[in-house]
Amino acid sequence: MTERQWQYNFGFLDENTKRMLRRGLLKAVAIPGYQVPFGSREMPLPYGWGTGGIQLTASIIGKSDVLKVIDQGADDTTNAVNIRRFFARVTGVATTTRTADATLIQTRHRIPETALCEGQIMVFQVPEPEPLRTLEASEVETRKLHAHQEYGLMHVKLYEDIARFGHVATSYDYPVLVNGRYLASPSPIPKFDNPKLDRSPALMLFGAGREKRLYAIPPYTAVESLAFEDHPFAVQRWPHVCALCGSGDSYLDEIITDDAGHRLFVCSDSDYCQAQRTLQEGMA
Amino acid sequence: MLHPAFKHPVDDAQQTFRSLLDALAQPLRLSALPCLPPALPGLSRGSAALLYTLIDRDVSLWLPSLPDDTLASLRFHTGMNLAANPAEADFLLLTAGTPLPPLSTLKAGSDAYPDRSATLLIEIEAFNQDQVIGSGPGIPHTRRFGADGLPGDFWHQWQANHARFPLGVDAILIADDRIAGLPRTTRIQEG
Amino acid sequence: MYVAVKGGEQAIARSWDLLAASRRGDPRLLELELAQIREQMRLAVARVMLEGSLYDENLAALALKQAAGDAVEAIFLLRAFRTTLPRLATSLPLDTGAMRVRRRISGTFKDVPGGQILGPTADYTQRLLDFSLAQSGAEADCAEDHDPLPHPLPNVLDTLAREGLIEAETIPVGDPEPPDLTRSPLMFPASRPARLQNLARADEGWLLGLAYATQRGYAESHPFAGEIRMGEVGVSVCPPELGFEIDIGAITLTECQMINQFAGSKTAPPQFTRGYGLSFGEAERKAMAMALVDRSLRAEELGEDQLAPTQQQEFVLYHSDNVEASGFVQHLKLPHYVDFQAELALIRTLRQQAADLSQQETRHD
Repeated sequence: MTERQWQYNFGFLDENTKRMLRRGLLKAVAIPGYQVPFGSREMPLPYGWGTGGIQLTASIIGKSDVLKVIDQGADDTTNAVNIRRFFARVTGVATTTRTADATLIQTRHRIPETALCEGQIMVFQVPEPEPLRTLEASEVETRKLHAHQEYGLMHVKLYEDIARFGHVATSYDYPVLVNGRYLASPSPIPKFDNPKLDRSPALMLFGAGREKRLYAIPPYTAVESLAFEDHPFAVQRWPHVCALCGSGDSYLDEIITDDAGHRLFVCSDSDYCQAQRTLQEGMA
Repeated sequence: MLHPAFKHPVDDAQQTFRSLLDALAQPLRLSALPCLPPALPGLSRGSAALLYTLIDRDVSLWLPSLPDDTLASLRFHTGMNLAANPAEADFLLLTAGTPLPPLSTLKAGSDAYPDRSATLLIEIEAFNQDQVIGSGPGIPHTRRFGADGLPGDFWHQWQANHARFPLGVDAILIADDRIAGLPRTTRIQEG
Repeated sequence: MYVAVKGGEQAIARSWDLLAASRRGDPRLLELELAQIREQMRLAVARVMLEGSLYDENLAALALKQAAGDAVEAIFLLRAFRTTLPRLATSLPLDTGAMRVRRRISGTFKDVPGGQILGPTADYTQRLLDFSLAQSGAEADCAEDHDPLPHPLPNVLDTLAREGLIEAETIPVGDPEPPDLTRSPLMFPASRPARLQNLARADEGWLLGLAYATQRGYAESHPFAGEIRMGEVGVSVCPPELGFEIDIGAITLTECQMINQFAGSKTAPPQFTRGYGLSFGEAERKAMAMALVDRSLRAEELGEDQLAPTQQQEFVLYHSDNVEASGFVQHLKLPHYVDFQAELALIRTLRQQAADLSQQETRHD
């Protein structure tokens, strides 16, 4: 059990910084998918390791929250452990690994398999908030493209993939159109998770600390993964089931088990996998 | 004379903010304010809570004419920076009976930065469910809504505000200890 | 049977112990004291204070000790600590003209009023390893013994400015408050105050490389070192409730004013232009590099072609911060296996399709 450190303000950030973040979040919710610039602070964890998500969580978390932190879908990956421990030290709030029990879920690279509910808040760690950045390096220019809803560049890129490979060659951080207006990055989640964003009952908040941008998808908001009529959007499927729980509908991690190249496929969502196994043991 | 603000500034501001976030994320659904500071002369408790949560010296606030002790208390607790006129304000508080400045004259943001826009905090008498039907992000299908004490052409002005999306203003309606959010994304049908 | 790796907590706790042990090194040797670092590693301390945006020699020494001498890590530690500090007051603008100068040189004139003052510089040390330093206690008598320097020393560029030969430095209309990059994000186009702030916090190596590039043709600035001065400058505040100035101490600064390529037009006669660099402590390389890059970033306002990366604000300023850069480069060591799995699935599908296609073609042949 990690103890609360009273030398720091609740949530580490000072109240002025929290207010700045909170005002930004309210505008982000009012303009779904639009990237709000904010005065990102230097956190005691490195940029690129979740400082945006950490600042958002720090600005919204309260004593009665129950926090879950995942990285790659798992609660026990080192960076998730580290961030959870950070919040335990600076807030003392309860933490959980169970998706259903959490009021606040900070994540890197996954959305849990267990369906989210109204009232839950997801906080995504975002390395690059600008979906057009690899196509246009200049921030001045990408701002203009968003202002004019000029997303032809992205359609051309996806279509070039199809011409070259017969498929869209983007498997994660797959761009989405939010509320029919703003092109947004869903963060580097596999495209498998994109459908979970569409009309979710939970509030989705996205924080990019190094790039100093935050954005939001309110509950029950249309989130469309870009596609073409002759090439509809499709998610990853595996010819395997999870080797631990037998699930056939969750995202699987591939694990190399020996030098001969044998592989095993297991759920990336460690809480979901555990819950499935518990259920099976109960029935057995 | 200075009036006290939140009893527990850190926790109370956090809980008030979560009500606000809920209110804007689920427009036209009522959210309770869990921590109410003592009312200030001329202001409801709910308005005071929102000001203590949102305002500091980094933003500009437009206020109607209010008693001196209210202004002195707000200045002391928030460091507020008063806007000379509504068109320059980041936040506007409209107490009951204050005429509504035309929404189209307020800060609506720019094409590149639509977030640089005004937020209205509007005191009303009471909520009801029989003026309008709202839809848009945060609303599963449609939501019935109404507010007693809004200026007569408010909803009409709101439709024009919504039509400017992504530019526009956002509003929070306050009836004592309950609030409802009205982001620019909310589409309103009268009737 | 595969078992999910558990026990991240313990692994992390163990890594802390190992880090502490390797920081300490051989325990039979005396542990470094902060005062030793502060006094004897003062240039490292200055760099950490400057790029850490916090002038506190003891904290910078602590950060260097904790980081085992890794400047970028120490800068990161100091920045994270800085986040928690309340902002009590804003100082009045510093007057480097009133500096108590310990070093002042100009490359543009053989002699200048007040003279060329070498001060504590390694410039002419011939870089021979001094083996006498290998033994402690064997240092030569190094008592400071010199005539007091003239004070204050006039600024070399002011002489040129009086003749109108160099652009004037005027306070902009309304004297707007400069932005604070530690509290609001960098926006483009960035004003010169915002750019200078960014460059002052910029990684010294990044700035040095860019400055070097400006000299090798990646910009058009033709610099001369008009004046470089180093010494102590007083810091004062004027609390509104008191209404008068209070001296709160002095800090060591290095200032570099470059004289550059002249600009002119049909209406304005040609004038030299300026590039400016300022750093905490004795940090001449940084101040000079900053002045060169400041000048190259002025290309747009001076109506020059912007062909080189050193003239592009977004390229220079977005990539200058070593805390940001170090974090993002190193984040690649975090697990990315979920996205990699997505790529694996995709590449297998694409290869399978290619194989099917070539099989079909073979059959048709």
